[in-house]
Amino acid sequence: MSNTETLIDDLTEGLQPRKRLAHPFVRVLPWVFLALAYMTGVVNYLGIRPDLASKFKDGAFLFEIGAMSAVSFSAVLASAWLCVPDMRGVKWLVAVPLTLLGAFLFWCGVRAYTDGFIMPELHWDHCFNDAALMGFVPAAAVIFMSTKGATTRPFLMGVMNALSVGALGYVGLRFTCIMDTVGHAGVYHLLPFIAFGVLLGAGARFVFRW
Amino acid sequence: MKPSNTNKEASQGEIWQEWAIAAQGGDKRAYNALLSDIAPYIRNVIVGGLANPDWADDIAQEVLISVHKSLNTYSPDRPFKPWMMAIVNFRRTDFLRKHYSSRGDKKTSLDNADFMASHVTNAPHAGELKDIESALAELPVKQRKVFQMMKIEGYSAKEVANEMGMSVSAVKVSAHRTTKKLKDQLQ
Repeated sequence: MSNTETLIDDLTEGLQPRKRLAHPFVRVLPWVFLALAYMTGVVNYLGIRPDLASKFKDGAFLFEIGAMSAVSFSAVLASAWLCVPDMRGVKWLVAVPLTLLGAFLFWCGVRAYTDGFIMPELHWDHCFNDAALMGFVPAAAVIFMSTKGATTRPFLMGVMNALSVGALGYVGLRFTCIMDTVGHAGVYHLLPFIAFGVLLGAGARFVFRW
Repeated sequence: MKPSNTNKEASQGEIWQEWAIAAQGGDKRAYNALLSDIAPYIRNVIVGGLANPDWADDIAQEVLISVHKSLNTYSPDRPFKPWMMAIVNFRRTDFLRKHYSSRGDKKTSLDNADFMASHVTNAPHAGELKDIESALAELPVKQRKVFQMMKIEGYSAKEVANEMGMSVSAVKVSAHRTTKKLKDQLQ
């Protein structure tokens, strides 16, 4: 009897009935509800920016919020699909958040060109703390959801997890911080989530191993 | 009429799909049939792209373990083969990444006769007998005896199994593991 046959016998012996992983749409729902409820709570706790009512009449602000919400939602969907080894045949799904992010960054570039880009002085800003507070629970929840699957693309899973959390956190920060410049948003609102993404990407093989 | 290869593959995929669904429900017979059927398929798929055909068995075993671990992610409304092939590609890449990052491609074993003939000219030191002996001495007594009888003295697995009071498969696994351990120590 070869090693492979012995292994097959061992695996067969250890077989237990399996509870199938729910459909990815179903699996993201708890995260969406949890993240939205948590973000609402944190935004209220930190204090809503005083000019928020007027900002809702600003097309640029609405585009920013809409684009980043779409990035977050599509990235968490991609994370749920990545939990299945073959992604249920919809590998193109990861292109959606990346394309939306690309459009958002292009729009930031255009704004920086037309409005003038001023690099803010680097210092520890309260936005870093706020970003950490906003991102912690959604990040823990999306990583937990992702580790319950069996991804064959751990690095991409890390990127999608970071995008879902980062984009949501960015939206939350736009509701609390009154600074609208591209420089401030790029450095103080995105940097903490970029750092999170880099860390998660670097440790992805370890975090999402199975 | 003889079925075409495409039809054969389609029916094979459907059978695997049925077995996988049954295995998810805890059917051990279907699961054993599934694993026994996909093991040689996996080996044949990967062996062509490997520098060393011996790796194919290691990778195939890794894939079987991965299939076992991730069986809950298989969805009955999806074909089985793409799901399995995603795991095969992942494990193959993972194996090769680990192999090359540990510079495994720069190492060779003492069993490589071509290498020994072309690179080792000092015969008394060719086998590094002292190293081998000391590595053997570090093994547990039972494991050493199995290895010695099978690999040095040339007894068959069945004869060793009778002598040691073990099953034939256990003897083979023990000898295989000892060989691997010695190779790792001596490289």
